[in-house]
Amino acid sequence: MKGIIFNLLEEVVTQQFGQSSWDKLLDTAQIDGAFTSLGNYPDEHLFKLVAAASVAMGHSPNEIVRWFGTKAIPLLARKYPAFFQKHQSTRTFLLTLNGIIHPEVRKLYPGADTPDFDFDTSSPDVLVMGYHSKRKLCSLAEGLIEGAAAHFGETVGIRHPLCQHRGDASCRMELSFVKSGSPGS
Amino acid sequence: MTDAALLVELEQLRKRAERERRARQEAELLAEEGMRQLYARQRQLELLHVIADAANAAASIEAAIQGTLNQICAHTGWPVGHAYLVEENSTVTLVPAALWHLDHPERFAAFRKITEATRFQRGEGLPGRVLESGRPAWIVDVTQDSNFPRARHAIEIGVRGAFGFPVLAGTTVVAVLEFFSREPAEPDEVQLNIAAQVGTQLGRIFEREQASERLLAVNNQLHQQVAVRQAAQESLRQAHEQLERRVEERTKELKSANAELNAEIAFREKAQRELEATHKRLLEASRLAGMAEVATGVLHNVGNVLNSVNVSATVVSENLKKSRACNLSRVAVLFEQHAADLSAYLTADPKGRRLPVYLGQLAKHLAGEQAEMLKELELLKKNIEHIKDIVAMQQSYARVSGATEQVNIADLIEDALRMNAGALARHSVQVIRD
Repeated sequence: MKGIIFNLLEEVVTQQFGQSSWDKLLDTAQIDGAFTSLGNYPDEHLFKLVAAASVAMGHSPNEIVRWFGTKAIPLLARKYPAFFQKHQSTRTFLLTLNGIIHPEVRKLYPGADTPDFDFDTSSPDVLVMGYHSKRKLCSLAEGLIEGAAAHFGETVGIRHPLCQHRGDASCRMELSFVKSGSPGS
Repeated sequence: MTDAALLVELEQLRKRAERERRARQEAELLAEEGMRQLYARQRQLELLHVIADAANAAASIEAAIQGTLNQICAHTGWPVGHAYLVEENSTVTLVPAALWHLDHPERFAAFRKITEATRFQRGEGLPGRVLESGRPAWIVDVTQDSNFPRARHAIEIGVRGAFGFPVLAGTTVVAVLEFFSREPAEPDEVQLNIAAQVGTQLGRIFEREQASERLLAVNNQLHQQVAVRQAAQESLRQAHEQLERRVEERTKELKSANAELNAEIAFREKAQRELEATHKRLLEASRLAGMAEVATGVLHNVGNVLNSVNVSATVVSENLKKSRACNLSRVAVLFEQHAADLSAYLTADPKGRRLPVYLGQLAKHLAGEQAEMLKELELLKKNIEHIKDIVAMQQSYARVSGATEQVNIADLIEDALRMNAGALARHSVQVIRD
């Protein structure tokens, strides 16, 4: 897992709950917490931190991860505005994941093990997205999509008919977007 | 430490941690930018490397261009790549090549059809602009560009962003490669820079092919020259062989002619020798005949004169026999007998007294005899002169009618010596030969 994820998590937790909460999570997870964005760290560290947060916040790990994704988007939009500025909608933004965003991620983080996405754009109303990752972080993906929708002033309805957590080979999400007013921050 | 002091220290520590966090984030940003540049540079190098390898391995310029279209589309993620070639024997007209990279051919079918029917002049459309400037060009949105004629042919051509770059052989644009995205695209200087380098790289192949064509032409010329020389050499060899055969034949002919000539010479020498021998014999015979003739003539003429000589000699001889000169001796005896009384004898003796008269008569008679014999001797002398004239005349004839021949001087001298051998021996002359 790339250090950028841990840094985002730290930033989200610190923003929402203060620096001491992050320190507590590190202590609970028994992780020293010296992450740099370009470094590589064991996936286990993320899972331990999520588990610690789950206990502390009284939510399931998937809910924690989803929440993290939602909150991470504004930070990413600030850090990497170019990926967002070209788009007016969550749909077109998501469609650049494979062609633009992940190649850019791999530019910054050589060896980054990004998840595989595939899209079915045959319906103008529903974007069908396939997801496959050995980390099974489909909740993070849902959170990121929700965060992106908020960024573009939309609300998103997510159906998740197939899921790796339920034994499916990959996840399948059906996304429908509705403009909700002013874009999120 | 008091609580207030602790709070102050805590605040200081918090600020320090915040500074450290910001410093880390800034350092991360710097590192990320470095990584981004490094990655971009690496991709550029990989692209150039791949294109260079593909270009070097390509069997033709078309194959090299096709490989480049594919590589650049893969590198940029742009779905359409196409090439225009500068028309042969022109520097102002671009013609569409059937070289395409199309991620989804059916999606860009209309654009392809329009492109393959469109030629461009310098400055016209995206390819014409690149041809004119010799530099890469970028169009953010072809549907909004005032100089993109192909967008006017259809409502939807499926492409928006575009960039093109020249393929340069030296400083001459030989082709223009163009790429299209489905969305409007802002100019990417890095991408244009790479494109320019790729254009130069591809240009090398054109230069190589042009050099190869020139080399091939030179090679063909050399082959032709070699063929001509070989033909000339073959002709020369045949001529040489023919010459040798003729020389051989001629040599045989000459040898044969030489042998015939030698035989002829031998025959002629033999004939010459025989002729010379015959000539000598003829000369000898002639000389002998001449001598005989001369002798006969001389003898005949001299014989006639000799008769007169003989007559004169006989007359003189007879006259001398009858001469009274001997009477003088008797007178002398009388004088000797009468030496002592000569005067008395002459005066007193009868005989003695007749003696002077006798002497007078005798003298007169002897004078008559002398005159007669002188006359006869004069006649004899004339006859002898006549004989001499005859011989001289004969000798002059012999000189006039004599044959001239070349002789060996030594043989001639030997002949002369031999003829005079008797005289030489008589006079005790010793001949010494060197």
